[in-house]
Amino acid sequence: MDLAPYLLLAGLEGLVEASVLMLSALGLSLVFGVMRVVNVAHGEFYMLGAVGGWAIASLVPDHPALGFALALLIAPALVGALAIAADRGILRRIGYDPEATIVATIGLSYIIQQVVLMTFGPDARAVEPPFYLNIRFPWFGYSGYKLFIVAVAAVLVGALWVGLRRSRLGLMMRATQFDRETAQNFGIPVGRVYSGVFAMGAMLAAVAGVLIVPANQAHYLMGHDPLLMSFVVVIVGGLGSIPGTIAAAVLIGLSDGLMSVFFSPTLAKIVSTLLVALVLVFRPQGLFGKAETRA
Amino acid sequence: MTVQDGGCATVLSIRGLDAFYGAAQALRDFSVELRGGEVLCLLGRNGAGKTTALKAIMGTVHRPHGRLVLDGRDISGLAPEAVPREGIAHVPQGRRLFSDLTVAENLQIGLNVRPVGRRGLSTALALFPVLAERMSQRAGTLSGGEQTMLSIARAMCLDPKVILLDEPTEGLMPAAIARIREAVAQLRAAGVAVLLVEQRVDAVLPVADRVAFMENGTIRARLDIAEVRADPSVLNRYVGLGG
Repeated sequence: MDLAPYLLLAGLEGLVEASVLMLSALGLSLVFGVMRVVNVAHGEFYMLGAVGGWAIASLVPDHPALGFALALLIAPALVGALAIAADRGILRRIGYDPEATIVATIGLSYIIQQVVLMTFGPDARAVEPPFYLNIRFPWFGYSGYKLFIVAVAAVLVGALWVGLRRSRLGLMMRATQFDRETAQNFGIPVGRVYSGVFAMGAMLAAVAGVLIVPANQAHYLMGHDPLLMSFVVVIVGGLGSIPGTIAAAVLIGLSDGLMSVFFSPTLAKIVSTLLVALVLVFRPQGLFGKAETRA
Repeated sequence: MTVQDGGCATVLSIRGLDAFYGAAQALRDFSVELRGGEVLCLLGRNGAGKTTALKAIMGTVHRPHGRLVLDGRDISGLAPEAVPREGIAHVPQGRRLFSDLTVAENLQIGLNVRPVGRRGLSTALALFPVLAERMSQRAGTLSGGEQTMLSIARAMCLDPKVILLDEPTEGLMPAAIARIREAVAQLRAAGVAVLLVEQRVDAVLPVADRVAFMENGTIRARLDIAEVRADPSVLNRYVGLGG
């Protein structure tokens, strides 16, 4: 049996999965890194992106590209606005207490799920890809749209990286991440930084949701798996570490793709979970994380 | 500005400041007047409320009562992040640098606070030239003395009217202490009002203009520095430390 086509296919599928996972996990990592909030509702922001994307795209059914472009712009913006409201209405009121925010975001996730169920119903919804392009490899053709997902994710992650390293806002976020009180002492509006970071995290998940919906389908329960896998990535990469999250997303996405093609998707999930267990036992700070130090 | 008897203008006036950690009151009726170009040294035992006093001025602890007037403007109701924008800089105990960030980024955070240009940075780098050689180094990798220099330089980037220094000589070698003392003297010469919290009385007496003793969250005594210099044993009465 010639392995090359299988390997290539598994690698491509893994890359697509890694790209979506990277966006979703970066959102979760950013929120935890800066705010120290474990956002259990993160998967619902992903789901809202997908369902919102479907709702927006279905407004212009005759122009899939236009519908998708509108969905990619509007759905994450709406999810970001909802996240700001959740931050100001819930998280800020409970003082960002680590335990209380876990309970609060569990509640928020159920509320979002049920509202989507009551509004859009339980059916899975399909969105037409913005374009049809079949990329020919020697052994098979592959969806150009799926590679578009990889490109968009790479551009977004690159922009996020540059923004965090080079912009004034990025500097404020990194300072707040390190020491909230000292950041305040230097005029950084920590409350607004928190709102912005929570919105940014939610928007990254929502973008991932919009991107994936033409390849999968939108459904009110679709947030579970991305939440679980995002936690896996963030724990393996190191809580709050952006480079670690990127590396872990690629590692887990690719291994998931390879396992799914050569064995079974269930085995892929077992391996990911086992990896988390090993990391927690032997390197609790994650593969790229480091013990906190304060000068 | 309020003009005092000695002719120096009052830059910061604090009246009846109370502060709480939860239900516990840590600061009671704290009142001081700070004039431009003077150094007021707050002394007291551990837990006397010195650090809390500085945090209360910055607004980072709950302070339900009290009035703070900076250059004639009431700043009591400002949000904590707005206080440094008015020109009050804080050098916290333990330095509290952003240790994962570079020296340049730490200084940039200071520069971002107020639209006052880079004069404060130039002054700080002239005072601590070693920082200019370490710009791309992570703050957490600097030596203890260099970290203190960076902490003060970061505050100087605000070009502040008032600077609150919380035990800047803690854990430093004599040579580094002399450099910090020089920095305080330079701030004073530049007309900045300095509120200095210290345990090491000998380290600060040469630059202090007035001394206030704190106990149980309030000021118990105020002494003129001439009186203290004439008879350093007076300090033992309050903090058990001699000059």
